[in-house]
Amino acid sequence: MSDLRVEDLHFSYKSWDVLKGISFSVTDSRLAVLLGASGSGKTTILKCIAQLLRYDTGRIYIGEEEITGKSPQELNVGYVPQGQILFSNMSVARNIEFGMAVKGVPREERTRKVKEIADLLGVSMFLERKPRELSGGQKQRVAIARALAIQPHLLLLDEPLASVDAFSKEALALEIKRVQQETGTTTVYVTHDQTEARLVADQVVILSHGKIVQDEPLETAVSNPSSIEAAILMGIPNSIPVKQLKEEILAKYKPKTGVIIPFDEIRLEPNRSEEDSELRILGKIVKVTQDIYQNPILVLQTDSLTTKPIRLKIRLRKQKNFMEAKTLEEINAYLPHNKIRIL
Amino acid sequence: MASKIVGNKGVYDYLRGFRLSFLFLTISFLFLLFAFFIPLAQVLLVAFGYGFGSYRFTFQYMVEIIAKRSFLEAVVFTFEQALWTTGLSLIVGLPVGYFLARYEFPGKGVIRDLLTLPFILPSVVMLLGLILAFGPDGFVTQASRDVFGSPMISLYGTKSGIILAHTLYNISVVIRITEIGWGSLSQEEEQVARTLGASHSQFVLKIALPNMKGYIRTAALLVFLYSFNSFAIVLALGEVRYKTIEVLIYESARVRFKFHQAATLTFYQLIINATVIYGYLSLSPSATPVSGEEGYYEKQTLRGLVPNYKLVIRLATWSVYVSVVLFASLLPIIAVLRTSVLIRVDQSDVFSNYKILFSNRYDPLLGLSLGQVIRNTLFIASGVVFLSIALALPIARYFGFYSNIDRETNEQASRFVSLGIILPMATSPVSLSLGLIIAYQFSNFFENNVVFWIITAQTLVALPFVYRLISSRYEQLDPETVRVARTLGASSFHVFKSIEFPFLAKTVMVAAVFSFAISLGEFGATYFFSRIEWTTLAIAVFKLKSARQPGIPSAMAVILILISFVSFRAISIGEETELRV
Repeated sequence: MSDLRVEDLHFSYKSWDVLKGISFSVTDSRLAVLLGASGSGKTTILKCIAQLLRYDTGRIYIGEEEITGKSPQELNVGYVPQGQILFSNMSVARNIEFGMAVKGVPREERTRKVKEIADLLGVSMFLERKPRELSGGQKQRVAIARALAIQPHLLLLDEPLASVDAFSKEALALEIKRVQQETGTTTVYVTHDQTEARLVADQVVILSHGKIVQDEPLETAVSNPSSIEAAILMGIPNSIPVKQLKEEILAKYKPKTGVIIPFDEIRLEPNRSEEDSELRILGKIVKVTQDIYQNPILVLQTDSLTTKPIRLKIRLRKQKNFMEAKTLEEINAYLPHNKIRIL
Repeated sequence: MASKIVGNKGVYDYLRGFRLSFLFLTISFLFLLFAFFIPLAQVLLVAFGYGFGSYRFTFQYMVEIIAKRSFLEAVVFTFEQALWTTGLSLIVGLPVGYFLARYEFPGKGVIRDLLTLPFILPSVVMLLGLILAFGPDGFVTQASRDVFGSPMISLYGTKSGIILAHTLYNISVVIRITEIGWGSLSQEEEQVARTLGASHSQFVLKIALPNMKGYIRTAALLVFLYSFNSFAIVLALGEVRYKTIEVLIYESARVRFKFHQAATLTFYQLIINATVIYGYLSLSPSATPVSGEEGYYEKQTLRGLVPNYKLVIRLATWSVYVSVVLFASLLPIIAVLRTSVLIRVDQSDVFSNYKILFSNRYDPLLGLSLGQVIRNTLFIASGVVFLSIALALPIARYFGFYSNIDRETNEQASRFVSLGIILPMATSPVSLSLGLIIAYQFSNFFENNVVFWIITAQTLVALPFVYRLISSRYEQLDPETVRVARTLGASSFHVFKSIEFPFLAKTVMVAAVFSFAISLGEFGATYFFSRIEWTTLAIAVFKLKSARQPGIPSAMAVILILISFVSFRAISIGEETELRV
């Protein structure tokens, strides 16, 4: 297992600068999530690391060794592309042992290793099946098993849960985390889904338009986003970019990229007058929903802060006066000025 | 105003709305019935002893023929040459398909078209080209004699000559199909294999080829069936030694007038063809043998590649290999083009061979003027174009399209009809003609109107292709547009005129050009009925192939090449229907 270091990576395709100086590192045995919207360059970074794409400039190190210019065959990197790509002409067992077979590992050792890795990923019962006989989640487990079977220095996962059904997603994400921790494989995990990122990441590298906008441990990325873009990508509720804010809000708080209205700091107090230390938000409750942990969430539609109406989420369990508020009636919500996160 | 009662459509309303469609449908079905199914049934009856003076069923002919040495030799040879041709075509064509699928370079489209050209040419053109190149007086033979002291290959009366001819003809089929196969492989699979340590050849052998087996099987099947049912090339080159079953059928019916024997041979040939097709279908249950996701393979371009010696050697090897295959495939065409301008009737005029084709000069070998040959060809081709479109359109419209809209015909009936119209494709042109002769030869109409039977037989050959083109296009028409038009009050005729026909017009044009080309190049069925007064270009090329003045048949062949190429381009450009037929 090894550290990964990417230094000033540039990649362009035709006249499009896909990567504009990407630098980050992942320490041994950690799992870094590359988080970003479609087209932000996540997959390109992964393919550059695997030397499947030739980048314009930059250096990539696995451990102390620079790998730029090497062929993918030489790297010993486990690569799991998007879309559950298995060798459709081979059984699950032959898929998993493929990397060992081409390297000339003796059959007995291959068989032993296949069993071991299949047990780890929970696919032992499918070993003789063909890929077409597996579900999406099972295919993904096999693809990861195949990548891990070569005992890679580095595991690269490209949107591993993209085509897994919603019910299996969380379980498989936790499974990937468990396997990664058990094997201690340094891993780069590409996703656009912040829920997935929160479930698996030790470190989050947030990308936007070919640049890194934040590279922090998970806790820091969630508690202290570097910009409103990073906050939106991390799925932090009530993140409002500057372009949506009203003039008076901009004048009052002077944000660079936007503001976050912390959803557990808003108070619904229908019958209270405004105080100087507070921001008053007038709106209607349009929905009651729940977060991923099934905590109830109120949705308040308001145009107090923005030029067009937006929906703010409010954590319900802190609302003592909620019962006084009626759905679809204008009500007052208050937030102390010092609780507003200005980015 | 009295309100209308809205309820289920009555039979009368239904018929009134569609009566024209039904009339055309009925005509199409009657044609298929009388031109294909009844003659085919007659052939089978005769094979079992019923007909030509005998009115009892017997297995006598079936058993007799199996014991005949000539039949057994023909069966063995037919299989042998078809298997050799299939193997050789695959070995030569697979790498070229790979090259075209994986590399992007200037002029690739032209090279692909040139490599595909032999596949779309009439067999008589290839035959003439081969004789002009590899025949006793061919320029390749002469060059070989000058350099090595002996001819490179003996074309007449040898297995190798026939296999060479079939292979040169069929490499393009393999290239065309396997290029799609190579291109459909998942790039991600290759990338995964590389990260797992597999070399390129390990990837090709362990993953790419196994995943392409559907395409390889399809290519092998087409090449096998083509060579198995080959007629013109074996008739001309096999001499008395080598005959395919197809040639034996022709000889039995038209030379020896043994119709029982011809019918029995046709029965066996049908059984073998059906077994091969059934075997293929049961081996590859999926019609789209694509591995994993729909493939998108990023092609390797030459631009931006850093030259190193490995790359230079790789590109040089590819260039040499593809050039050799291209040259070999085009050799017959080059021979024809060369002869058409070099060996000419009037030395002072380069195009004299072409000009003479449109004159009224009598050709003693053909027994009629060359201008008449052109007129015959155009007349027959026009008839085939008209008939095949007029017959295919109503069936494609009703069973390919309206069955989806109205749900008034069930899916099974629709599939059954599609199968019925495509069935003539599985029957060789010689067998189709044998059926027509057996069914109708004793009628006066048959004797006096041989051109009608030539057109009928050629239409049967063209019909499956035209039907597939039109029905594929109909499948792309969104049924909602027709439903909306109906709710707006448009009649069936109006819907056809304003929605369907504009949508189909280009395809109908393509189908017209395609059926025209098929008619022009068709040999087997036309030769079966051939009468001097109805000699066509293809028949004339065949008859004049060994004439002392090969310039004139070469000029005829060049015309056939040009028309075939135009029809092929029309299909490629006009429609995305490649290889669907």
